[in-house]
Amino acid sequence: MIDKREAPAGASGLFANEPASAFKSAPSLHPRNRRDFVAGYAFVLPSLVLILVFTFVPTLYGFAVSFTRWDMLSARWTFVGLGNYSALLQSRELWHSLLVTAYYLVGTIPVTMALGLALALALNRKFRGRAFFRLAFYSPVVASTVAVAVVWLWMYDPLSGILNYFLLQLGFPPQKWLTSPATAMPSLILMDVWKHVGYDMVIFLAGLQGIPHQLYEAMDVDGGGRWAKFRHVTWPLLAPTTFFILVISIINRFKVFATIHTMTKGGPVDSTEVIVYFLYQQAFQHFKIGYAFAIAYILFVIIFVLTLAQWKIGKASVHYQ
Amino acid sequence: MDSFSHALLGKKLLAVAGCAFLFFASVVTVTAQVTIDFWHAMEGPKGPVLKEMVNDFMKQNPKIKVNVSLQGGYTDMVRKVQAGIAANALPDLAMLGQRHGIPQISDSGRLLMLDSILTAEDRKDINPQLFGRYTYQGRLMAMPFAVSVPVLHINATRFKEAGLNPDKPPMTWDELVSYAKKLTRDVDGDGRIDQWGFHVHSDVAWQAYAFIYQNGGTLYGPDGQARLDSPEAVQAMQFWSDLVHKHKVMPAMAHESGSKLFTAGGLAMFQRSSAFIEGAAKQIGNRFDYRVVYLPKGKVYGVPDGGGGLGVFKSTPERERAAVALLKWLTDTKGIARFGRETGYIVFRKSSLGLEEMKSFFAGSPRDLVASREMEHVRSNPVNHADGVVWDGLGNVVEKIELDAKENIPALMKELNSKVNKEIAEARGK
Repeated sequence: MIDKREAPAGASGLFANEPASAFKSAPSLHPRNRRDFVAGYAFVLPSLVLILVFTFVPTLYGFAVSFTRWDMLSARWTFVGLGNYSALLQSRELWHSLLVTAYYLVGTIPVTMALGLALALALNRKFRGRAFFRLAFYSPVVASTVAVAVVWLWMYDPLSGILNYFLLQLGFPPQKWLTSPATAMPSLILMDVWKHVGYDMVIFLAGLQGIPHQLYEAMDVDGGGRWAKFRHVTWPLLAPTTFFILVISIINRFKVFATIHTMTKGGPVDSTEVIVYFLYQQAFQHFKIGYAFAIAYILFVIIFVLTLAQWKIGKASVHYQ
Repeated sequence: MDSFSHALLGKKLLAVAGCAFLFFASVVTVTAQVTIDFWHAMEGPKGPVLKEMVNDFMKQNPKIKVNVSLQGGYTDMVRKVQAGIAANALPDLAMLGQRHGIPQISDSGRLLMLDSILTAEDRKDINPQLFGRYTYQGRLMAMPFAVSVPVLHINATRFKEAGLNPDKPPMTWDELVSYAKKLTRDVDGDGRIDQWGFHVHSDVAWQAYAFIYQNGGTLYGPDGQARLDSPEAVQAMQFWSDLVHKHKVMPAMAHESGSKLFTAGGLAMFQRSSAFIEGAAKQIGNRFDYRVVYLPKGKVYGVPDGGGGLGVFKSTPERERAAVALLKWLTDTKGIARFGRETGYIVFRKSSLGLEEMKSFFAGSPRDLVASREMEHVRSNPVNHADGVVWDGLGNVVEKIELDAKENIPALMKELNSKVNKEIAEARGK
């Protein structure tokens, strides 16, 4: 149905017509071009310096520190080789926090994406008040995470929270929400879905609007129903969007911290201790900086491998029109 | 060059010389003035009080300029000091001390030891237990300043309704239980408890220290090893569990709700820091008779101290002198009296309590007087590298025992104890 032969719009084709040797040939440029060349670098220099100083240098520094035992405060530090890594891989806490993180990912991402897509489909049609609903579903995304977490903390309060009040009014038993290991994670997931569904919705909306009308018209001619349109036009053409959201979601959910820090502090009984919170505790409560950096590197490797795998699978199954 | 030009040049030179003189003169006056940074952790209305005090200090000491800045709570403060040490950008004076970090900060070698600035009068004037939290390897790392203690906040109106005399609050654990049972009620008869007898605030580890001390236990022994598996400590946690499961007078897993519940009138006895008094009184207003009494005694009175002290970071001799001068000014007889009066922190100097102004203040604030008097029962453990592990660990134990009535408390405490000892051994091995 979609002609894959005319597929020049992918990322790889972006610079296809530019000379690949532009950078290498710089020294032999005409003086005026050389001035442009210098000016170009001068323009990117500030951000380059910022990235170097605040991203690359700390990243490498952290890698070095991950081989030491150090509290970041004293002048004394001990080289322990792979000690931090082997201790971590043998510790129950690391595996527990990875499991908790996986629970969080599996609980949030599919639901948020499915709901986001459903909302995008609904709000892509023309009807009165469409702008209002788009704004309403998107507004939690721009609200401050900590402020939102505090409000939900009040709502979840088992003794005086509004959620239990409504449950009681409706004749249901009150819930323990964040105060029981069984319900704490689902409660956090519920809030996460509410907070992020608007983001997925907006990206899906953008993707939907990029689908050419002619394809739907062709389906009308061929006599395809609504499901057939979704199945054969919308879904395959949304694949790059879906793929983008999936990658971003996995990276972002792996990094979840502020809501955990505000709402549960990893509890009750470590039931919400995701890997970044585990890292934070080691670094700033137990002053084990080397150990914490080792956790950070393990997290880095996990995200790196996952993203790589996604690109591999993505290349095979996602088609950029 | 004609004479006119000469004259002009002469005038120019004179002007230049004059400018140069003015410039050097200003440099000299600037160098005579010392500027120091003071990081504090007093969030809310207590911050401005401190700032006002520092302003008055600057008026009396015009050669010292103090930049006061709020760094967030005590936990944020430790993080910022950690970063400050790494970045070599430390303040001259900082509020330190709550929960953890003192040993680690001390290990950096950047703190000025304060033993020498303490006079013999100071030693007599201040309860020696108060120095415990700020003493590391026998040296004083910080001076007690914003001191608080847990007290029992009571709703005397609920006491009277239940036929209890608020002038005779519970003195022992048994009395606490029997009072709490009478005060735990299902007021509207819907089968759910809507008035609780007893609760503790969400800083559960600190409140657990109180339980352990009251039962004659301690966190660490004189040998520096943890004592969390001692019968005293285990029984204290058993008592905690009993309050929830056996006596059913304390809601489980709802410590974050305690303050709201108390100020709304749904809680009769609330164990929380004395720092809560001002805020609670404001929120409660005249809705009920709010009083403050001592924590009950178990086998003995046992009150942990909390809050923060003041530490001086090493810098230049001039700045260190200025920081010490400010520290002394803030913590002298008048300073402690004023800070306590305006914030509700404990007035821990005997000489401050003797001031006329304090006597009249306490006459109008009986709640603060109770907290100040309770100070004589304060107990503290010397700071330890494993304080953070104890804090987290006790919080974890509390969660487990509140969730499950059948938790094996001796086993939990034994596990925590060995975890803490492992941390201590690791710190020693460094």
